[in-house]
Amino acid sequence: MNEQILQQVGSLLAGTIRVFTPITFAAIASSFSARAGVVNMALDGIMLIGAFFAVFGSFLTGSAWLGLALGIFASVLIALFFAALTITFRCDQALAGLGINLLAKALTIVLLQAVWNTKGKSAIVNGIEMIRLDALKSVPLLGDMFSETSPLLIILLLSLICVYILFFKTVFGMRMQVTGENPAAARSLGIKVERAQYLCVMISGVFAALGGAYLSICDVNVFSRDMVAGRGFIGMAVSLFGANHPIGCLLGGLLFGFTQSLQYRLQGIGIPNQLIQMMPYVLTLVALVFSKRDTSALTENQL
Amino acid sequence: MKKSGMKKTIALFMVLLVLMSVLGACGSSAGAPNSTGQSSAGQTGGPAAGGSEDPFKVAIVLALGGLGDGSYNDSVYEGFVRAENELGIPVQVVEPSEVAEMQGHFVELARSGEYGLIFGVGYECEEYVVAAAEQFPDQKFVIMDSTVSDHDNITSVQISGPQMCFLCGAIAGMYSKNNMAGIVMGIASPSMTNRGIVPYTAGARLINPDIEIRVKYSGSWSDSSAGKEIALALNQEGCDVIMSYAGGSGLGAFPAALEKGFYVIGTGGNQNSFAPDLTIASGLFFYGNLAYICIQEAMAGTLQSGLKDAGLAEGGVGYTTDGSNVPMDPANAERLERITQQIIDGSVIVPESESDLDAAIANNANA
Repeated sequence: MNEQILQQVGSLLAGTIRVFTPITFAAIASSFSARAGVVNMALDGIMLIGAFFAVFGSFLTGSAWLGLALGIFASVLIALFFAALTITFRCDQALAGLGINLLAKALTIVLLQAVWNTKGKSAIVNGIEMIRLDALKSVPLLGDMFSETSPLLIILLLSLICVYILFFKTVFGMRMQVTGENPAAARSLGIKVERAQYLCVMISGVFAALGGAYLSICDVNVFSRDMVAGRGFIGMAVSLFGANHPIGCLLGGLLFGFTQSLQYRLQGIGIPNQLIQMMPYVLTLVALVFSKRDTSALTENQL
Repeated sequence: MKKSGMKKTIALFMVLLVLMSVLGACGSSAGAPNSTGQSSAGQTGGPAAGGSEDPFKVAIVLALGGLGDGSYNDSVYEGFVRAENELGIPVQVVEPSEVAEMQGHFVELARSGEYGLIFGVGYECEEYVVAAAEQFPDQKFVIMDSTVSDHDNITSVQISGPQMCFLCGAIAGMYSKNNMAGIVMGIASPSMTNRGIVPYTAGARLINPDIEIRVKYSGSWSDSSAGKEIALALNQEGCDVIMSYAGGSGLGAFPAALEKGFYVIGTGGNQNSFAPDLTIASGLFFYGNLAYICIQEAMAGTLQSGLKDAGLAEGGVGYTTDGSNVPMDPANAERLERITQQIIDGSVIVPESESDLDAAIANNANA
């Protein structure tokens, strides 16, 4: 009996990690551009492009890692497009984002048609191999969570550390902060505002691609139309929830991943499914309402 | 400095735009082997011999998505190709690029008066077919996968998803060793319950009266990652055979099966190749076959208006083990064949609502 509960908790936690990974990549992506004063409304579309080209690259070369590289490249291009629209041409961020999300959705379907002659899904491609830690396998809970670890999860955790250092311990981070908080002041200090924003949106594209590619070449090894399914927007909510702070993104991602994973497992116990399916979103909202920190307060403390 | 930056950006824009339009063009031409422009619909009957009798001709306005979608449209189109080859009748295919075009296509085709039968596909076209049917009461129409039933000149072909799910349930009943089978579903709705879960359960209970059916929803028709996650959760609860019935989201069931080694059953098209060693079979919809039958009946003058059921008896649904490496016991294959016959002759009842489930199970147990 005890063992059964342990197994269920293990499966719950393993699911948490899998849901957490792409969402947190999206959250980092969002906080990068948000810190520089650009709300990356195009995140969902950029992730979708990343997911598609990762599969396409893996399909062409047979190597999932080269696929990932192509996915990142394509996503950065689209992010650059978004940056040009919003920073250089002063287009409304929400509008440009909406446009790119629609474009990404349609473009990936057209490309599916061109490459695989279907509008639904790609061929199955080589995915990124899991790292197997057989030593952990016998350990309860930890074994469930980490005995098969995605290399992208490791990249995510390392990124969180790097992003923390970059945001709070480097000159670049400080400049980025000023750029986002008060562009006029930043300009008077000699900071090249536009350049910093371009750079941040492009880095945002890199992380969006990692999130999208996790879904396509790590999780299911296939691209299906519209597979990102709103994770870009959830990532934005998580980064807002985490006050655009890497630790906040980590915690927000874990909370969302946990509730989502719990939701999947609670279905069918007698409570109406619709209520259970609402859970992750309701909890995230509640946490958002009751968290006292707001972006400006946190950033001041950190500065 | 700044100016050149700006120029570069604009240049980049242009490159992107050109790239996209080129890709867009490739995409649409690749998918349209036999389409003609919309306005030419009326005049393409060129070689229609100046004789006294007009040959029987058919036209179809495809659903959005057009040819090359690997499902719906392609499947219906197959029936047209077969009719062209085997019955020697000319066919006219129209691929609308947006819903707004549809009404014009139906009206134009009907006005020409050249076509014995005009097809529409999917619920999107329903209102336009109805409008055209009212305007041209002598023109016969067929709508694939629809429930329009109150017009004398419209035949609605209703694909029997429940019979397909019943067979898939029976297969699940044969392969489950844990007495527990699951379904990966997309978005919950009464119709998914009544026409998906209920017949699947009845099918599984026919083989194994003790089997328990678990259902989980991914909350999306496209989120394959969520589909994988709920397939894993179902497996964790003990389901060792899982039917994927969630469109694109259901694709996730296959990688989940590969990870954990449970059996899956595909639906819609032949999905056996996604995980050949673990996919037992795929339930199928035969749109092409149905379109062909309608054309045949219309030529013979026997096509009835109203709802036309398209189940096992009419060759509208079925299943395939092609491409699957999972061994199927000859006794099981025979049993499935027998169940198919029993469904056709009515001795096995496929329930289509929760309230009928228990009665159907009791009835089927004695069949």
